[in-house]
Amino acid sequence: MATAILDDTRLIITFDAGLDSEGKPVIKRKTMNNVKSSATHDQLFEMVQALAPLQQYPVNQIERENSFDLSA
Amino acid sequence: MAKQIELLFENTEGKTVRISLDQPVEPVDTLALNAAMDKIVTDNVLISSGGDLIAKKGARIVERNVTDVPLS
Repeated sequence: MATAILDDTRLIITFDAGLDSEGKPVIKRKTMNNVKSSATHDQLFEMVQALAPLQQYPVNQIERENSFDLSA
Repeated sequence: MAKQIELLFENTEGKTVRISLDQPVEPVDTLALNAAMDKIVTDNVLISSGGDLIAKKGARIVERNVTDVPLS
């Protein structure tokens, strides 16, 4: 069976930036690559909650992307 | 005019690490700013090429102006 070792974590924050001139919703994304893979979901969630009031847009979605190294 | 708020941290190598967010709320809520920066340092969930983020260094609003120059 292949083993998977957690290699890298990225955090993607999606912001709701209102509507464009045609009335379509505008989504802004911020990707953080410098996230430790040992960080817990709670810690990342709380960090985004803490950063959110510093900028104008409401947070729409918080995604965590883990990548794994597979080996035999 | 693209504005960003930059949170500056010091890592174990003594170098500065920047975390930037678009569309800052102005005037900056310094309580929220300090809380967010403290959280990042305490939880220690971010990495940099020069080690962990160990201290808050500062914060600033950065504004970038772009002027197109016509090519004769």
